[in-house]
Amino acid sequence: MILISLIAFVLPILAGLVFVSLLWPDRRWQENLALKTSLAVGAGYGIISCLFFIWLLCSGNAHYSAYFATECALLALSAALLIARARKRDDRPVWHPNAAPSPTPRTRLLILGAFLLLMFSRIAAGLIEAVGQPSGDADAWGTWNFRARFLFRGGPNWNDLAQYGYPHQTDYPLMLPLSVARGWHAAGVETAAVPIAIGIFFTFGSVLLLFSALSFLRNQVRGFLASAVLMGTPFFIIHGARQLADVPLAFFILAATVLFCLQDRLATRSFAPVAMAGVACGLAAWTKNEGLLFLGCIFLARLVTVTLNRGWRSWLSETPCFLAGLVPVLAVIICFKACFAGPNDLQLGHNLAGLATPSRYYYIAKEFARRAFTFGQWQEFGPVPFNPVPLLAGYLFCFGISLRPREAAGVATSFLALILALAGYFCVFLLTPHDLVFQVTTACDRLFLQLWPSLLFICFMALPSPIAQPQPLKSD
Amino acid sequence: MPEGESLMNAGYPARIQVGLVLVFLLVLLPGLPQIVSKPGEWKRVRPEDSIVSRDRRFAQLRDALPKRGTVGYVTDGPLVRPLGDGRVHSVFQITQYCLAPLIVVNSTEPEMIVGDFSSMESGAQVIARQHLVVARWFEQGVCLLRKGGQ
Repeated sequence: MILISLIAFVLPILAGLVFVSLLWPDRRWQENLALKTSLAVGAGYGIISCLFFIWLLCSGNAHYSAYFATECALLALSAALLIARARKRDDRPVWHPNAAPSPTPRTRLLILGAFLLLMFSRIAAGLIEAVGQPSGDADAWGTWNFRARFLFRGGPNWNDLAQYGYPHQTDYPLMLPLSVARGWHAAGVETAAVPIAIGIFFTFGSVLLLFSALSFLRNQVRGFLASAVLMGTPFFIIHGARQLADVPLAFFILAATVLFCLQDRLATRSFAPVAMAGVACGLAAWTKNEGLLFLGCIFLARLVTVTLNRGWRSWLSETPCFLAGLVPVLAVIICFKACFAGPNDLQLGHNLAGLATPSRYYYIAKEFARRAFTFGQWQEFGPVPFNPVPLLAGYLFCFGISLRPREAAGVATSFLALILALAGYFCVFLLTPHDLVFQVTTACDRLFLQLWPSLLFICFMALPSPIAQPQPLKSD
Repeated sequence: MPEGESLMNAGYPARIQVGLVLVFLLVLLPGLPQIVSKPGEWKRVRPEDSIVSRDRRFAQLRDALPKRGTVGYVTDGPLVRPLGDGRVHSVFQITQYCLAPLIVVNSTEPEMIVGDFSSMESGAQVIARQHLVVARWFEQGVCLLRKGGQ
């Protein structure tokens, strides 16, 4: 039984790894393994949750042995496809070479060791937090695990809650509840270990994604620094351990951001990273409603940046691939929203008068500015609080940014998408029918946290190197 | 020679190495006391998790209730209160969570009503005041009630 449960835990990650490897531009399976594995955490859990939702609709929430057999069969089939693909050799260079200075092999080994030591120490801290509070935060048990209980205990009546609507938040998407319910079905028992494990996977999947993406696109030093800053953000680790959906959402936003930057590094005419970015954006929307906002923001941001950078033909040529990744997940979301979800609290009533109230603008702007420096709860982290926000802001202000023209579109897309998402959050606060102070106090830090890993990625992509770059001689 | 290769061969300047070690220590050291001191507290913290303890409290009642439908709710204290883990909770919301997939409504109108009392004595007063009838008492002040006269 324990073995089956373990397989059920690991199977989504394996499925994600096969999926990412099938789409990965480089056919050699051992290349970019850390990057592919980190992307696999989110891709696997996200895609399996969509599959589980389809099974739920087809089977009436029953026949789980058959479901797990189907999962295994699909995984085996995909693995066979992957092996067949890997056998076709293709020695053409897949990526443009990296221009950033790389450390020596010895330094690389030291950095990797330091990264792993930090990561294991933070995993231990996260597990201690999770075990001390196995039900997680109020939002975790009150929203996500509550829905998971309906899915696990409710049988064919899993959606009874929808008829009651607000305040049960029945319009929230089901990626997390489905993943938790699937884990309980696999374990055969309702155990806190499942949501805790999912929370830990997404938290440290984000850390590994940040490290491996920057190590590949820049160098290991930047990867280490960015991931150390993320691991040194207490709110992020605590939030992940307390099973809140903001961390999985942050993972998918980061994944989309990374994949758009990977697209710009490609030397071959392939749009596989953009297609995977489409999947990541869809899964962000399948995780939280804020993900829908991010999807709109990144679509608009990509249109603007690629059109300005390379012309609209370039945007037209990559967009079908983005949509090919997005549409299957979006179809699941639309099915859920149209047939099973209750009304959204903003649909039930919004405060249009808020748009014409200057004091609301002032209050929200003031809180945004203040919380931008405090949302990570750095002040609670040890005797020497390590707040990276002023340091990064100061460094950027003094030294500016350093990007190659080829990389500009990906970084600009991500940066513009984050700015638009922040503007979207601002508007939601303006329009909220609930008490503004309560909303901002309870939600603002979490919204910043959703964008934090991506912002770190963009900063460490764009920061100029502190090492003076060798200037080419005129005769060169 | 590709850009940056000379740097790769030469390694990083000392100031960069010192900076990296500093960042490493700034992230590692504050977290260590948490790891070293907290494992001993696991056993202390776990039973106090208010959701886990209330889940256990409602376990017998859950078995006695139907698997689907709506039940009412009545209690002798405020709906939002501290529950021993340092946090303030809505006891009504926790009850809803514990009894899922039943729907719990904060009312005595449904046919079956969940009584959630601090003690049997305190519960008996509320039951009499609301003209309810006890169908069954469970442990720790939990009971199943029906409307009076049924």
